[in-house]
Amino acid sequence: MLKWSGVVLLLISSLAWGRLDKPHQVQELAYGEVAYLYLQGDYFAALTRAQMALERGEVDVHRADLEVLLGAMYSAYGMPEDAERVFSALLDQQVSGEVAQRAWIHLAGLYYRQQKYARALETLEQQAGTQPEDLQEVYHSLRARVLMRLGRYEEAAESLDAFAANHPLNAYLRYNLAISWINGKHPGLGQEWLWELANLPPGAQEVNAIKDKAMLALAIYMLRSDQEDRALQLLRDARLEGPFADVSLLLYARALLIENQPARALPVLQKLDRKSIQRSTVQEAQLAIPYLYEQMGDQRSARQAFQTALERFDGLEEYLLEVEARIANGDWFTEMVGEPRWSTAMDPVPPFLPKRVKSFPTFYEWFATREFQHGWHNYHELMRQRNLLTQWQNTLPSMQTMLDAHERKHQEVRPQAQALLRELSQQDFQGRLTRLQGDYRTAVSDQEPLPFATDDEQRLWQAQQEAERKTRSWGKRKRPDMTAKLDFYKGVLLWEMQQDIVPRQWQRQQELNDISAMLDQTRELRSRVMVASNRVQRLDFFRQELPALEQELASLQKRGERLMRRQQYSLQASAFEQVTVTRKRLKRFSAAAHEGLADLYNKALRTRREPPAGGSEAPIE
Amino acid sequence: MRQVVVLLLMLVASQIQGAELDQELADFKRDVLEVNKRLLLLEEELLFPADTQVGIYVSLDVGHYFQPDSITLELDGEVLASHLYTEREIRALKNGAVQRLALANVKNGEHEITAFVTGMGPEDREIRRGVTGQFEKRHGRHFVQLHIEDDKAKQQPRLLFRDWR
Repeated sequence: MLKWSGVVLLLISSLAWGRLDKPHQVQELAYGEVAYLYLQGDYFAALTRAQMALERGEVDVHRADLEVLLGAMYSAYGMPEDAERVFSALLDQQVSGEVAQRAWIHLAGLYYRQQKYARALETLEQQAGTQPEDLQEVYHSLRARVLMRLGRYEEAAESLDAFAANHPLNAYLRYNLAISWINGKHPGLGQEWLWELANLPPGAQEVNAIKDKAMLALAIYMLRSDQEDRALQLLRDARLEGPFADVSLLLYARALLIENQPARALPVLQKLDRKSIQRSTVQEAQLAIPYLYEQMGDQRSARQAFQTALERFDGLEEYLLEVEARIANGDWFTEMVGEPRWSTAMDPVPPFLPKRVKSFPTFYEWFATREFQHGWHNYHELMRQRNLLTQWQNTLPSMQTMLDAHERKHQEVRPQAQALLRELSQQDFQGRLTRLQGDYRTAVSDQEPLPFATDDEQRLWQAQQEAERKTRSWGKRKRPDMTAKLDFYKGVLLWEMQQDIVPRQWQRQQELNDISAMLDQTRELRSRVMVASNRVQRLDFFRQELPALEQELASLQKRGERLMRRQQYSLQASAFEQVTVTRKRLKRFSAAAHEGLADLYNKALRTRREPPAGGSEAPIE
Repeated sequence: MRQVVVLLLMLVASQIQGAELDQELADFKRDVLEVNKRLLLLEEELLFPADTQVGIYVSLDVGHYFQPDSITLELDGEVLASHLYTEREIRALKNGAVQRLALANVKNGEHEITAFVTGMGPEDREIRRGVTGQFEKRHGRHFVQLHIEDDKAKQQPRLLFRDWR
């Protein structure tokens, strides 16, 4: 049953993540990473990573998808209020139709888990709308289960028809539906479906369990409806392994007795009798055996069997008293829990089984119930959480050491960084570049060649200007051919400078661009140096955060310990109830055995008083 | 006598528990998650400051022609991480999830990264592949993705590194 619940849970969980064999669609790492943990059922680690991603703003494109995942994980991790809060907030926003559909289906799943079936159905039918192909199966499986809980079996069947015939969930749902039919309005249809399930080809444990259950259900139905021969046929083929072997044997013996075949029923019950008396089926067999001998006319064996039954019942009663005492002082629980191990504190809780201690058969049916598994899982989840807290508590001193190292380094580097920043701001590199760029633009717009001249050209230009200045000071003494010569030289120089002015301007532009790029790099480095030098605030925050976390860890440890103790008490109380039920049954069985034995003696006495045709009395053995 | 008292107490406790205990458990989980998140953020910031942090991630696209078994990652010639895949991890990757293979600290500048991947190809053939890539670490957190995708023409896997921005 629990495995089936697991299948259902897995199916419901998988709807938060739609991709299968489609090109890669994850655009943000954080979302993909959360999905990686989520798809492995590692909800605690995935929830932590999702919260980190949201806090650091690591998701934008997939934000709504991540929130659907978050809600799904809260729901699966036993935090229904948080799940509801996430889904409600999500559905209040403008999200895509597909995201909304997933959220609605999850919300309906959450209501289903909270046993709010009408609300779950209303959400599915009014909000979820028409589903895309990859959501169909999940939608219909959930709807079928909700409808079954509401007793609307025909509609549930219609919803089931939407599944693939060989899906394991289909078999599980069909079994439940068949049971409700066979006990209700449609026994014929229920029988038909149970036959189909009983004849499924053998396969995984889940399938085999469904086959066994269907076969047993059919046998019980046939015994009740006076079809013992058909019941016998069925039970003869029942498996002698698996969780339903004992019940099958007991039913088979009953059917044989009804068919008046006690000699065949005896070895069946004796086979059962070899198992632990703690099992309810064995107790029943123990009581049935003497009646069977009696039916066969073997009074002596019947008396012996009654006495054996009484001895075994007494022995069990004593043992159960001992178990009760062990439950009360906690020894029973400690023995059953054992010592779990995890590879890391963030790993999911592995499927712990109660240890096969001596009292295991007394409780094995209870161990298979949802109530026990829920409490048992919670206990181990708390244990894991406390293990995690302990690991963090052990890590805190090294984190403190790391923080100290960061601070020391920061104190060493910070003055140098600040000096560098001061020097950089004094240099005014950007202002100088801006002035150069202005000069360049003016020179280009004025078509001025001199700013682009080579060093030699600049020297020649200076010499020519000097010569002109000197010749002007000579006045009338200046020879006319000298002025013409100087003008000629000036013209030649200007012509040379201007003939390739465009490449010269381009080269200067490149130089300015290079300087600008270098300044950009300097600015980036400067901003990093500034951030690093101002990291003191972050380190201060860490300095305060560490002691606060230390306190919180200690407080959570105490809370965890209290909760674990309460969970343990709850399980122990239920175990005590189980023992009480067993003891009451034993009392009934003992009374029946005493009564049976007394009847036998009574019969024997009567037989002795009535003189037989041969003359002598029958001895009482 | 003491045992009877304890049993009575347990029975009373079990009656008032149930929903109330579930609620307290949910509150406890919420608080542990919050503390765990804060501690992880703090730890990451202390161990891998953003300025030196590089994260290497693995993704698998469709995966018709390849199913990874193991991966070894080298950064600048040093082995950084090795990983053996479980069935559940492969299923998660095939469903589009992304695995964080390693976090490391590197200086700014050019770096070389190499991955050796083994796994099963079509018809259960063992496939070994190596791929090398370069990345330039700059200011802030840096992410590199090792992407494994199907090469339909060759019916082989194709591995490539790329920066994930």
